Formats: sequence, C-alpha cells, structure tokens
Amino acid sequence: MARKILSRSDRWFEWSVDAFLVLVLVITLVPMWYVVMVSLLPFGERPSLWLPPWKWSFEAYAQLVGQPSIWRALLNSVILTVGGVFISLSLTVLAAYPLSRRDLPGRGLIVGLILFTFLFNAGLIPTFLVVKDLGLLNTYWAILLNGAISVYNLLVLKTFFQSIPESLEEAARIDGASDFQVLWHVVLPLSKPALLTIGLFYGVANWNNFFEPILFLSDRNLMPLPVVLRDILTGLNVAEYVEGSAAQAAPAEALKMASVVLITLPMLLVYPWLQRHFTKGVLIGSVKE
Amino acid sequence: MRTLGQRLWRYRGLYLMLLPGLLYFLVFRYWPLWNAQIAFRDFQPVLGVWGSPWVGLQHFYDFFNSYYFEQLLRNTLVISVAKIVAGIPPAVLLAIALHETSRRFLSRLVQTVSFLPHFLSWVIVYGILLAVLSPSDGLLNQFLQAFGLEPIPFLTSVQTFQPVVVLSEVWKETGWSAVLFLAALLSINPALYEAAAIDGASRWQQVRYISLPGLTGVLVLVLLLKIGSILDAGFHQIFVLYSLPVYSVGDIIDTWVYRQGILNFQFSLATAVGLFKGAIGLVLIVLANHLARRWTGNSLY
Amino acid sequence: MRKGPKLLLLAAVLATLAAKAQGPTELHVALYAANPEAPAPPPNWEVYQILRDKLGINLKFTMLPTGADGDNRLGALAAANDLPDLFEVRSLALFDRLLQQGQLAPVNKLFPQMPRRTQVRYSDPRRNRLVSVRDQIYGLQERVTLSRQYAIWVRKDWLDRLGLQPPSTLEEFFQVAKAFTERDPDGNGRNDTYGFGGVIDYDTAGILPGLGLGNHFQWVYGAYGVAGTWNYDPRAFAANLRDPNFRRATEFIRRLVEAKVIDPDWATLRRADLRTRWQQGRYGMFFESVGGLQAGLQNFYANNPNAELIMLAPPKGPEGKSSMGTYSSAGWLFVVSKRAMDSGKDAAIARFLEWAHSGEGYYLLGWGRKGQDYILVNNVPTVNTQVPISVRGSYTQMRWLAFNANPIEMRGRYPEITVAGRKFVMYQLMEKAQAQGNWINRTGDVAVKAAPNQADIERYVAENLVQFVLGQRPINDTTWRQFLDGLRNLRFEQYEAAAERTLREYGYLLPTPTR
Repeated sequence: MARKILSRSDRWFEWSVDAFLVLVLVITLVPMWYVVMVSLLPFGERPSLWLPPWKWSFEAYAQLVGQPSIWRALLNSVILTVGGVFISLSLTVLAAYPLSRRDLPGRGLIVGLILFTFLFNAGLIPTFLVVKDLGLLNTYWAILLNGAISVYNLLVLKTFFQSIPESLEEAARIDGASDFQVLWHVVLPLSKPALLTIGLFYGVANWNNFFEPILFLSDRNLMPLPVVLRDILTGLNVAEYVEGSAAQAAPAEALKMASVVLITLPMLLVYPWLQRHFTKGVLIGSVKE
Repeated sequence: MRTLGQRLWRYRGLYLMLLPGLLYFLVFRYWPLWNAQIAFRDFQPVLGVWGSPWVGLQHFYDFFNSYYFEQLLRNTLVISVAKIVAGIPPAVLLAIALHETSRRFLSRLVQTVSFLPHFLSWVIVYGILLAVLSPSDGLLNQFLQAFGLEPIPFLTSVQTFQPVVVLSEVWKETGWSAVLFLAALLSINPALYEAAAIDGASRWQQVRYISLPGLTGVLVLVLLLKIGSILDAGFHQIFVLYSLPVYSVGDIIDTWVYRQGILNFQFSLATAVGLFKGAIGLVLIVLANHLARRWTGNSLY
Repeated sequence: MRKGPKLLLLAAVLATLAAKAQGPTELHVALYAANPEAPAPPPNWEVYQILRDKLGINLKFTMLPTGADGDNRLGALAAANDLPDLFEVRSLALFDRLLQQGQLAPVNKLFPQMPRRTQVRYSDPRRNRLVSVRDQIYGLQERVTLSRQYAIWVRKDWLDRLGLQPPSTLEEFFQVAKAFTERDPDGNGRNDTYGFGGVIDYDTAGILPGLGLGNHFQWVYGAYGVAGTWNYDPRAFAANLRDPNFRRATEFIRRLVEAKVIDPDWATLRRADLRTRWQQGRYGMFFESVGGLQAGLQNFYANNPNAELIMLAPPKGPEGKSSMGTYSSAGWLFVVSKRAMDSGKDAAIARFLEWAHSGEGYYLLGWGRKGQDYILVNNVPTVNTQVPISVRGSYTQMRWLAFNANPIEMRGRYPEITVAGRKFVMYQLMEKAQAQGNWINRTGDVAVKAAPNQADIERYVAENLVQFVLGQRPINDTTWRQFLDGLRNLRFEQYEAAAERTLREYGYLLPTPTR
C-alpha cells in the first residue's frame, strides 16, 4: 500500500505494528534457536543461548545418524506419509466430486450422514475394536485406513469443486465423456492448488501422527519417527537408540535436542514450498460459502 | 417422467465413485458407533460386543460419582476456555499487523516464521518446551536465575502447568489462526480505506472503524466453532506434556478415558465417558451453528 | 529315577514327534524387554529356525516396552481379545483384570507336559497359590531370580575431598547430601552437583514398590519402619500410609527436596535419565541396581576417571530401624491366554517352555550366542562384557523364560569385571546388596487382589505425596488429614479390608514378620 505522507500518529502506528511483528518473530524463533544450541552442546558445558561456534560439537548428531533404528523409523514415517497421502487424496477426491454435483439424488442425505460423523464420534475403544475385527492391528493399514478421510478436507474439496463453472463439465459431457472422464480430464486439472493443499494437510497430519501408531502398532520395528522421538524425550529408552558410550561423548540434553532437530529437518526442507500453498489452501477453506 | 430407478441408473458412475468413500464412513465411522453400545454393557472381550451383559446406565453413574469427575470437567473447561481467551487476541493482532505493515519483506518473513510451529507435532513442541522450561538448564530458568530468582519447574508445578499448556498452544497456533483473519481483512474492499484516508482518518482509526468491524463475522464464527468443541482441551498436547505431579490440574476427560480404557482395561467405562463427551459436543455444536446462522448469516457447515 | 518321570518324558518326546508331523504350531509370545537397552532379536535369529525344525513351533515374539507403555500394549491386545498365547504380566492389577474378564486359562494342564521344568519351578504350592483361584492355577509363577539388588551408592572420592564419613543415619545422609550439593565436591568451581539422585519409578523386577513414591524412596520409609504397602503385624494390620511414621518419612523427603539436594528435575525424570546423570558425575549418592551399575561403570569412569564408589547400608531412622525396601519371593509371572488353551496350543507351549528350561534352549535364550554373547569360564557360562549390552542384549531378550535363579547363573551374569584399571566382583556386590539391605519379605502382597479402582487409588496416593514432597502443598495436620480422609472417597477401606482377609487366609500375617 502506497501511503506516502505520514502524520505523526501514523508514524507511531507503523512503528508499533513493525515492533509487534518483530516481537512475534523473536518469540517464535528464540526457542527454536535455543534447541539447536543445546543440540550442539559439548560434554561438560552448560547450555546457553549463545554457544560460540568453536565449541560446537556434532557428536550428538553423529551418534543419532549412526543408529539403524533412527533410519528405520524415518523409512516408516516416509511410508506412512506417502502412502497416507495417496490413499486419503484418492478417497477424498472420489467422494467429494459426486457430492459436489448438486443434481445427484440423495446428495443431501449422504452429506448429512457424513457430517454427523464429524460432529459425533464414537471414541477410542469402539474404533479400536473395529480395527481389531478387521484384523488390521499391528499393520500400517490400521493407521492408513482409519484416518483415510478427514471430513473437513472432504467438505473443503467439495466446496472447491462446486466453484468450478458447471458449463465446463456440461461441455465435456455433451462430447460424450463419462463422469469419471470429466473428473479426470476437466475437474482435476482445474483443481491443482486445492488438491495440493489437501494433500499437504494429509501429509503433515500423517508425518506428525504419534498416537495412532502407539495405539495400533505393537511391533517396535514399525514405529515412525515421532514415536521414537517421544521415547527419547521422555527418557524411556535413550540408551536403546544410542550406543552405550553416549554419555561420554555427548550429554543427554544434546542427544534429545539433536533428535528434535533431526525430526524437524525434513519438515523444514519442504516448508517454504508448503507454506506458499497452505496460505492459498486456507483461503480456499475460508471463503467457502 | 422417468422412474426413480432410471434416474439413479443415470448417475451410476457417480455412485460408483462414491462407493469407496461411503464404505469408509460405514466401516470406520458408523461401525464404531454401533460398537459404542458397550457403554451400556459390561464389555468382556471374550464375549464380544454382542455377548456382553447389559448394565444400562451403570457406567455413566460410576463416572458422575467417581472421585475425579469434577476435577476432570473443571480442568477440561478451564484449559479449553483459557485457550480461546488467550488465543484469539494475538491472532487478530497478528493478522492486523501483517495487513497494515508497509514492509512487505517483514510481512512475508513473519508469516513464514509464525506459521511454522503449526506444522510441528506436539512431540516436537514438547522437546522445545523441555529445552526452554527445564528447571536445571532451561532458557527461561537461566534468565530467572540471572535475575537472582528461583528456578521454576514449569512443567511439573501445579501453578504453572495450565499456563504452559495454554501459552504453548498460543505459541504453536497463533500464526495459523491469523491466516483466517488475514483472509477476512484482504476481502475488505480497499476503496473503504482509500475513502477513509481522504477523509483524514488516521491509520489507527482505519483499523478501529474498518478492519475490526470487517473481522466480526469471522470472529463470531471462530468463537462459536471453538465453543462447540469446548470439551476438546487438546488430548495430544496434554498426553505428551503431563506427568504425575500435575495430574490434578492437567488431567482432562480425554486423557482419563485413555488411561481408564487402554491402561486400566475399563473399556465400557471409557466408552461411556467418550459418549457423554460426544453428546455434549454434539448439542453445543448444533446450538453454535444455529446461533452462527442467526447472527452472521453464515453457518459452520 | 522311578518310572513315572521317564514315562512322562517319553510322552513328551512322542508329543513332539506327533506335532512335527502336523506342521508347525503358531506360537505368539510377548515378554517385556529383558534388556531395554537393546532392540528385539533380529528376524534371522537362529532360535526361530531351531524351534521350527526341532519343536514344530513357529515362534512370533513381541517385545513389550517396560513400564506403562508395555502395560498399554497388553491392554490394547486384551481389548481386542487378541492376547498372545504366552505372555508376561508385570502389573498385578492387570493380572487381576484379565482374570476377571476370563481371558486367562488355568495352566495346570501344562505341568505334566513339561515335567522337568515343573519339578524345579512350579512345585511349591504356596507360591502357586499366589496366582490361584480355587484349585486352578492361572499363571506360571517363577521363583525370584535377582531381587534385592538395589542399593544407594556413594562417591567415596567426594566424601574424602570434603572430609566426610559415609552417612549411617537419615540425619547424616541429609548433611552429606547438602555438602555434596553446596560444597563443590568435584572441585570444578561450578555449582553443578546434587546430593542424591533418585526418580519416581515402579520397576517391579523382584521388588515391591509399594503405594507411594516408588522403590527409589522406599529406604526412607524403611528407616521409619513403614516400608511397603501393608503393615503385616497381625494385631495392627493397616495400610502403612495411615501410620504417623509414614508422614514423618514423607517429611524427610520434603526436607531433601526443599534443601535442593535432589536434582530439581527428579519428579519427571525416568530411570534412563537417572543413569545418564550419575554416569556424568552429577550425583554424590544415587539409587541404582547392581545390574544397572555394571552396565554404567564404563561410561562413569570415562567421565570421572578418579571416582570411587561404595555401597551404602540403608540409613537408620530415629528409632534405629532401616531397610532398603520390600520384596517378594515370587519372581516373574507368565500366563497363557484362554484363546491359546482353547485352540489346543498347550502342547506347543509346554514343549517350548521345557526346551527353554535346560540344555540348548536354556543357553540360547538365557545366554545368547556362544563365544559371542557369552563365554565359558571354568564351565560357568559368563556374559561377555566386551560386547556392549545394546548388542548382546538383543539375543537374550527372552532370558527370563530360561533362567533358573541359581548361584551359578548369578556368577555368570555378574562376573568379575575390570573397568578403568579397577576390579569389580559384581556377584559379591550383589550378595552384599541383598544381605545388608535389611529387605523385608512381603510376598503376600502378590496375592492381594487389585481394587476395582486400583489405578485411581495408586494415582491418588502418588499424586498427593508428590505434591507434599514438592512443597506444592504444605505438610501439616490439616493437609495430612485431608489426604487420609480423601481415601474414603476412593473406598480405600474396602481395599484394605479385602487385603487383610487375603493375607490372613493365605497365612502371611504371622506374629513375627518374616525377614
């Protein structure tokens, strides 16, 4: 906004707005910075906000990276995230498109039934019993399928599909395209930003999921990163993930924080890209009518 | 006139598409609701859902009369309400600041940075909190000690646990919630601001008389939505943050259900409490939606 | 040898052969990690192959994490009616609950099918009765292997530097702990040491943590004569927490916390953190098992080359009493799910357990790979301490099914080791810890059925004590009365009365408490 001439009070206003933003920046970043500093702590040193670079020790990272169990957990996380996004996105698109068609008989009833599950959920144990009856316990299917469709994402996508001019679909249909072809060739190409956003929603949720693995999996070799991180942080099994000589080379605090940093890292790498699309996505969600 | 059958047949392709989704909802959302009848039975895994004996409302009575009922309800409500009260103002402020600043670089940077915590799992945030709040080496306690104050065990003290829960939520979610408000601000007609500026309104007055009123709609909506889910005080967060010394202020309905149900095998009791919570939530959200429609003309769903 | 056992043996052999003809039986076994420091055995573990080839068993092994997470897994499996065929139970409340829900099977049927194992391990009726309902025995109640191996360890080098003697009373303990915290015993010019390291831990490896703050603080209650949950005096039976001395002991712990001689993080630390910290040299005194010490000595001396550790006898209270805590002479408990028994897996389970009891199975499960995880020293199998526990531990995760609790085993598992030029005879330390700890036998506790709201009761007591000890609530007549009165809302009297009935019925309330 180009407002050139500023009165005194306006200058104050601008100044306090910027000061507030800087404050937000500091409050958000300082804790993260401190985590990094602690992770670089050499043995026998007290953590502080500013650890001079010549004292940095990458011992904690070296030890974590050297652990096969960390890599296995990373692989598990990748499988869960990628598989989850694929399954969730396919199911959500397939359900959202028919429901976006105002002419579909029974649409209102189906939307109502879906909405009800959003508002009222049966809780932990009944769901657990279903997963068990399906024989999915201790498999990734339990996690992938149980959370396959988020009602919120479904509704957002449905709203987005509705915003696509019907004339485009009509034209395709007159040319003899089936519903599936319309979806594939007309609707989806127009929905790329929405799909990306929803996919990211699912991806982030899966990447961060730690409770369902705890609940549904019993084999420790199947556990994804967040579960491993929790074990390390709560001191359950630090020793399990780190070689016996750990205490000598890196303090436990450094190990804990190094694992925090390592697990955040993949997220940070895709974050700039993610953030750009997320902003758009939220706007899609918020301007629904 | 075509028969219903013919009409449905015409849409067979769409129904086919819908099938996997419907199957999902049937299996993973409605089947559990069916299983939820164990709230009224004395569920014995060996006998199965169907074979376990009926006990009526026994588990509900047990919960209402249980020693921890009041404490759980109080903790849940206090934490939930505090999160709303403490969470919305910073988000609104941030949205306004992002909207008003003339430094585009700063605006972008702050957006990018303040968003980030939303994408971090609570486990990671717990790690960050450990670093900042630990009584022996935590950043905050180092500051306190530098000023000659006693270190505070923030995560294990009954006085500080609830504030930690609320403020860590604010830290994590402010950037994210601000986006909604920012979207509302961006949808305000810029001509309004220009007209006001020509009339000599100061920037502050523009915020006061244009931006804030422009936010009321979405504000009411957000508020109602939060009230609708007021019994969700943040299970995942508390699950990773709490510990024995702060159970009295940190234990909420959901964590109790988890412990009774999974750790203590009281499957029916846990399900009954889950149903109780679900029913209250349902009533609240329907009410909230009704109010939203009446006050803002918008509905939540 | 008479004819009986021989015939039984023959029967067992025939059963094995028959089973082999039918193809392997699937057997799902879940045990708590015997070595939490090490991962589960690899998929190509030779035991799997041997069991398939020789016993006709397709073993699936689930390793449960120790502590609440493991109970949690079992709970989830129980809800799903999907319990393993043979599994370990560490929480007595869990055992009772499973029993109530009819998910466990009587194991009487197994005994004749594994005669050698039964003769050695399950022929004490008194021990079997602990897990019996009427005439049915619902668990394989092992003898205790290595209980009472906990002690308080003191940094002798710190004592010497400050010119102090090892404390023998609570009061001296407090003074020494204070000096260790405040007088810079490591001489590094920094205020970074603490007098005592202990955490809230309910590890049930052969000892009974009691209601309250867990086994790391039992010695304080022992000094006041109120260790353990119940007072076994037949004329004055009650929960120990009603005893005025229980409050005095709690007040002593409060003093330690208030004087900041305990690491301020103690209330949320876990055992693993405690171990890291004493190994770093932050504590002047700490609570640790002989096994935990053996595993940590290497690190400890790498960090503190000039340190010297001695074992402390439990400090005496004002009336001269002392005890490190309470223990049970009943050891690990293995149970069989009803499902397994109903589907006729008893023969396979018995075969497997008999195999684990002696010979090849015993060595493979108990000691691991010969020449790698263990070596023979004068014909005694001895752990190879050259291999880190995080590696060799994987191969002995099922060792509790094998071990027999005899002195040879103890020598082999706790051998003489040399760390940083110092010699440690671990089994002697073990014997010393058992002998000088004045441990109190409270085996009867195992027979006491859990209250319906056991979790609420345990939480209530632990939570209140933590609040008192942390100073979140002052300890005075009013607050203490509130604490005791609150028990009524939890129907604690009923639990207490039921416990008394059980203990009398089982003959544990004897005029002179057993040592």
